[in-house]
Amino acid sequence: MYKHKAITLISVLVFFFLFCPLILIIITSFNSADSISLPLKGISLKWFFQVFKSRSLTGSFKTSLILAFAASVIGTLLGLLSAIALVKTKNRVSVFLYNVFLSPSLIPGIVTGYILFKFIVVQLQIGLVLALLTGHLLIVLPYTVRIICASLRNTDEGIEEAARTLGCTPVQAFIKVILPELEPALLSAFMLAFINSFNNIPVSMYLKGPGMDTLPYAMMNYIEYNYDPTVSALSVMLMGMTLIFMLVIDHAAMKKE
Amino acid sequence: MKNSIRFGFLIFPLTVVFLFLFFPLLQAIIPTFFSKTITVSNYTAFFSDSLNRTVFFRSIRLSVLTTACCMVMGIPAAYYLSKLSGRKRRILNSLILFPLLTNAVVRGFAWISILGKNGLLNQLLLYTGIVKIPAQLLYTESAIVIGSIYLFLPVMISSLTSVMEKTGIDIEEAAYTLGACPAVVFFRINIPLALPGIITGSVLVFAGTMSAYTTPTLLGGNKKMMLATLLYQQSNTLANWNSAAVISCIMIVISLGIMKIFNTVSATLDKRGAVYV
Amino acid sequence: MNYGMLSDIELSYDRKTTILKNLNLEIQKGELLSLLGPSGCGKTTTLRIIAGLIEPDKGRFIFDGNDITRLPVHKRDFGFVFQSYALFPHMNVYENISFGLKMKNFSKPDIDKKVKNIAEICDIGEYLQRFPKQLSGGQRQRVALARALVIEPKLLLLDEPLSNLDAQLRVQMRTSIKRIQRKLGITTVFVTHDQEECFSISDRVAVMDKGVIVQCGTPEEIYSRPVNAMVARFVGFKNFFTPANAVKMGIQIPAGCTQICIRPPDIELCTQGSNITGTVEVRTYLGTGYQYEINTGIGTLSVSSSAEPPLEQGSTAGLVFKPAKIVFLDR
Repeated sequence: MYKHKAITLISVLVFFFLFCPLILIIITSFNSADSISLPLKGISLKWFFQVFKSRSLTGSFKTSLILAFAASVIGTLLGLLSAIALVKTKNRVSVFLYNVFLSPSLIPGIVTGYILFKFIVVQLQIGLVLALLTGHLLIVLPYTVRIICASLRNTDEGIEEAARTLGCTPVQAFIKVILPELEPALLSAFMLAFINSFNNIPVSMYLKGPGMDTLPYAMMNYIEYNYDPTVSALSVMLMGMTLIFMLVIDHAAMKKE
Repeated sequence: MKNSIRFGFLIFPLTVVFLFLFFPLLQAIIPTFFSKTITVSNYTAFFSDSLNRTVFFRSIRLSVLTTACCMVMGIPAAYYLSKLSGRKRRILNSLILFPLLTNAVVRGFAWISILGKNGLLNQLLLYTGIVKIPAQLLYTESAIVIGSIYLFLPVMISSLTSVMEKTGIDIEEAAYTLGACPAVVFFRINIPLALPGIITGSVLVFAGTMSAYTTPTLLGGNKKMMLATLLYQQSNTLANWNSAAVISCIMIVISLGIMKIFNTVSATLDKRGAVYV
Repeated sequence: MNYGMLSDIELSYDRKTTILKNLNLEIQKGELLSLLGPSGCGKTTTLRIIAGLIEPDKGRFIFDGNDITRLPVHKRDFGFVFQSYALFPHMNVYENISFGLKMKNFSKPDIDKKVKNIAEICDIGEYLQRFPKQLSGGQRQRVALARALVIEPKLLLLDEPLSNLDAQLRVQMRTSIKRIQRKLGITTVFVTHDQEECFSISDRVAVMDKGVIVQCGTPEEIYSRPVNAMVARFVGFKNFFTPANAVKMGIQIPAGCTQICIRPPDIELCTQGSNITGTVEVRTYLGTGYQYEINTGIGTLSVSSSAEPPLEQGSTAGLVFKPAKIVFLDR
């Protein structure tokens, strides 16, 4: 009804603040000049090719991808199992355990990384691969458990009972009737887990090793020694990846409706 | 499905959490309270070092500053967003959440490329002649604050919009019919009713800024350290386990402390029935 | 006396759907005027235009000699009671009511006096320290009313204030509203879709349909002399038939008449001298009597009668129309 002029002005500035830096990265990544500068000397894709030439960047990308995928799959599965266990029973114990699963997100990432490093790598001397996987599982569990529990709580128990009266065993009833209802939540949980695992820095940073770098850490290293649009180009590609993810999640959410 | 089988599902994930998180956590932290007897000497020693003190107070200071800025910037933006409808709002909403899904390194790098000595901002300043030599913008506390605001503003805006949407338009209209001009309605009606969102957002921003690693490292370097940067330095570069454990405990206490304050404040607000009729 | 006047108001949504067209309405000082009509007829929209919450595309609103069409809401000094009450959730009852007075910069003692006074009139004096969350529907309604009245507005606007209350409370509240309105002498515009509620308290009624005011007059006028079939149906007329059928029954019709109607209680059962006969199809018990659906040569007629003994289903009945109660419509 009323258009507050001051508020609109501030809002526009805020949105400008949020979008500008990313847009600047996108623009400067196409520069044919050797530095991050404006105005553009010319348009070129050479920095994008430069990304693929760097072994540390491409290698760590693969590592991050595989790690995120593994952590997300396991995390979603464990999240599903935990949700099944927690949602049906409504007592103090299940509430407590639910909070236990959410608690890793309360602990600062850097602390989690340090603790895991000290315990798994130094004390137990377990291999890095397992350490990384465990670490990322801990990062991912709060998200998957929360999302799947919420979705399971919202599904009508009645449909499972209806399936049982029509002749299904408990397991069959669950798989045929409940699981399809959970699909969107499972997809969201997987996607969110994947993104958070892929983007994670504190934990991955501690648990790194030769040939076992994650992309964010490799990027940080690269920036320290090279200041050129290669990282800009990589950032653009990562943003593209994020965009695709958002579209997939959005599409899944709309399908449910 | 039998309850026993169900709880069997929990065994593996619970083991992971307890064995690889809680146990090592306690194992690392409890010794910090012992030095032949139960004592806080480790902590007093920690704070007696001036560098540690600087880092600690800087972390608190910058977190408070970031939270305040996010509030001032986030409230108008969230209000504007909550008044939009349909397509415009969904698109703007997604655009605001987009940075949250990108890497902290990407976001930090964006500001490095803007604030650095050879960065875009300095290029502009030199070109227009506002300065003669490049200004030192990076590796300053301001850079950390800017980077942190950039990191957490979307979080604040999200918390706020979800609450602001619930304030019915008729309540604003009622205030207008009673003679309130638009400014009064905004400050006396919209903002008090958005309080739960303001608190949630502030808690997330404060806790996040206090524990962040990437942003302070990229934008503050070793000159301007925050608690997380200090922790990494102590544990990796200096192998000072004791110090690292002390810092870990401090960070966890602050994190949990904020949560507790948040829960108490929310509960009081709820009792007053301050939110929805 | 003309206190307020809406002239040629027009409003469309998105430049395509017309909501109001050629709307003209007079508001007289001190009266309780109702806007009555089915949902979607535009009555709430008209009220909101009066309040200033919506700006019309065309037309003017003159009030007390001034053209206030473009005057912003917060400068109009009209009290508004919303259908949802719209009480401020973060303020208690006292703060809710005193809000409008604070906007007018009254002194604290003055505010206190006025709030306590209106709270007594509206019967909510006990709840001043409570929050809206802790009140029942009826209590909230009275707070909303008090909040609008305490500023001594030039015009009181009520948007279906009783529709969220249960039946008994609704009847109680409408009497209270009328009593308060009379006592304070505030000019009031009241929007409702409930015909009985409207007629019981209004001085004048404007019946609306599809964005136009169809008939405006006292409740008595509208009740006994509806101007067209829509209004007639709305106020309870049921039995509609054509002039041709009327002639068949020996009723004389004036020129220009296109439809005739009559209310169920105004058709009497008789044994001789009937206009028409028919068979009883359905019988419903009303408490005060019976309602009969009677199949006749001109269609099914609804007749309500308390005559004893009641007619049986399937029996024949003779019907006579009370001549003074037959309504001839020319639209």
